[in-house]
Amino acid sequence: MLPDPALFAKLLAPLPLFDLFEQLQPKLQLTLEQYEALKQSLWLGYGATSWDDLQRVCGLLWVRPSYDNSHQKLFDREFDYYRQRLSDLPVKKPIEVNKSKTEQSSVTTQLLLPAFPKRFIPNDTQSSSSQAATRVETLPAQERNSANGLKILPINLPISVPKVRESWRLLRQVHQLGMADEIDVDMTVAKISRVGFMQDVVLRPSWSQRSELIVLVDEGKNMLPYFPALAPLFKAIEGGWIHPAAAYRFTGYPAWFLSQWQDSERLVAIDDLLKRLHRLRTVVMVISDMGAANGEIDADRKQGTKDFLRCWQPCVRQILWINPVPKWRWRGTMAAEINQELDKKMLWLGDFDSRAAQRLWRSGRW
Amino acid sequence: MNNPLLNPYRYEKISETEQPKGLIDDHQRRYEPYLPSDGLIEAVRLAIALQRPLLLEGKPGSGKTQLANSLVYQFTKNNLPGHVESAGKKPWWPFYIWNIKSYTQARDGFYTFDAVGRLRDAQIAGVTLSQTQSWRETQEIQQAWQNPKKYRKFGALGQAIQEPDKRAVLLIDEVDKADSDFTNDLLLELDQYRFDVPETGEMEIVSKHKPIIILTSNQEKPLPDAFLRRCLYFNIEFPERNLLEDIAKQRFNLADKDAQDTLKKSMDEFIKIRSVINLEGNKAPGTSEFLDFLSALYFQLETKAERDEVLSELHKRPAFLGTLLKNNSDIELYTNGRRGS
Repeated sequence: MLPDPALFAKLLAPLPLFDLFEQLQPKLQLTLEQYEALKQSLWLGYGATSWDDLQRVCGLLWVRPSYDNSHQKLFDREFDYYRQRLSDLPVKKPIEVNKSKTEQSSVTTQLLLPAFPKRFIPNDTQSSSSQAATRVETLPAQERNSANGLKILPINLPISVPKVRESWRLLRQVHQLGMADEIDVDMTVAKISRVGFMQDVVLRPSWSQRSELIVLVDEGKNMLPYFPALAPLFKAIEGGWIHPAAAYRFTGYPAWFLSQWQDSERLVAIDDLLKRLHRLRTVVMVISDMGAANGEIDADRKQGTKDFLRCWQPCVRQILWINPVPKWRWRGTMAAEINQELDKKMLWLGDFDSRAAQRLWRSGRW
Repeated sequence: MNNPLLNPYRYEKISETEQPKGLIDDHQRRYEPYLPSDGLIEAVRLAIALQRPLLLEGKPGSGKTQLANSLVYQFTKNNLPGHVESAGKKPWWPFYIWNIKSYTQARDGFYTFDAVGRLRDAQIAGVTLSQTQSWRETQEIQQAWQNPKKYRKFGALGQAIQEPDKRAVLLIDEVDKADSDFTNDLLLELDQYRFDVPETGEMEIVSKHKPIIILTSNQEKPLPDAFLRRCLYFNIEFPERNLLEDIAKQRFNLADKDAQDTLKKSMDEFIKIRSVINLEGNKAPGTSEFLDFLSALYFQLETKAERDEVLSELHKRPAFLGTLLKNNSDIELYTNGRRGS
């Protein structure tokens, strides 16, 4: 059976289906080598009999795994668009991922709330509406959509138990810790070959995978809407998927005492907590909007937070700061200043995935 | 089946009678029936034709690892007549397995070098020479530790690359367990199928026949893009009810009506359990767990009445339920649901 005439014509071109590759390349970040693989497959007789056949083969060669299957969905949508365009079918333009999220949000906002409250931005007091529009234009697409009506819902934030577990596994990567008490065979042999006889063994710190997670959650009123989005994290801690781990609440900034996540009436003195944390094994995750949701500026809170960071940093391996409010809302708020304090490593909750965790881990201690 | 001599690397759907049923190969590996989907068969064929690794993802128990066994079985059956029936006495198609651990390094797949052993031999030779050994023995020890190749041992990938006259099957199992640098360290070698052993001076060990590489991942960790671009990717979905039924029927010889009735009831219960666990976003039991559950039912209970009793009160039979659900919260979830209904 001959394939669809439009497909047949494309297959006979000197560079078969190159326009398909060109259409998909920027979205799927394909390489020329992957196009060569398609050409080779077509030459071997794979994918040349029908559109479905071609779609399957292109998928095998070009789609990459992703936790939520988003890469596959994007590929399918773009391929369908290409196919419709060539087959004289009524063309349905592929729906942009961000747009669909926004549309979905606009529907669900009515029901699920909360949207961000209007806020006061100190630096923007004299800005006109046209300036504000210009600023919005410069934002990345996803954030621009979010800005339209400020509709980012906690329920849409991409956090899930498997993702939390995956990120934890990455943070627990094997690393060398503590005293040099393990024989480094390679270095010992290298030394023998250099010196000519065995003088002494070369020691190195042993490899360890032990880590402890301390989660500190801001329970200020601006944070309450995000608690459902954080539920998977606490589920992973309670279920023992992340172990050892403990979660605490604070209001404003962590000072003197923290209250336990499960039982907010039970207080833990920060001094006592810091004494038992291992300097090389403890990862602290702070979850707070730091005033980004309503543009609040509070000098005490800002100074208190800076003091907290200076006090805790020498006592733990790493402090991760997760902010549930998108980055573009940090500007002019305390969040921006604390982000500077953290060498711009504060992370938006929407960007929190295993790759981000990996990047943070590689960036070392703050 | 077409003449297998035309294409020794042919992989296709095979009938029930041709499926292996508990066959053992020359390395004592066990082979069971395997029913791949059409999409998976096409992915395997394309990976073989393009000489690229095939990355398989899917939930644990979805049959990722078993695919490599299925390939080896078909290649042996098609190309080495009589070998599959020899009960492991005749060698099967070359098949190497590299099980990845969190501490595995890329070099381990090519070779390991026993530097300590060589050091020990050098020390022994230095101390004992001219004391107790004869001239001949002295020469032997000297030659041993001075020949570094004696201390080099090839790993699964190293052996697969050096296979002299066939494209070996290499299974790299659970590649996502290793450190993130692991896959990056394999890029060049998987592109060019060659490697060096600097310790022995063996440079550019090149493959004559590129191995067929099957990689499996449990999606525990994202793999680098550069690595993924070199692979074909296929996600093994949980099988449809019909396929699941076929898999169970081929694994257990379900000739009598009672056994088939048990299978039907088990599948109903299994699908219910999956939907409850999926709703909670936890990991639902897969095909492998279902086959374990059926094994327990068929091999531990002799009569249909006993099996029916277990199935009707599964929430009260933790030993059987434990083959499907592996943590307490899932068991509680299911048990509460059953009590409620």
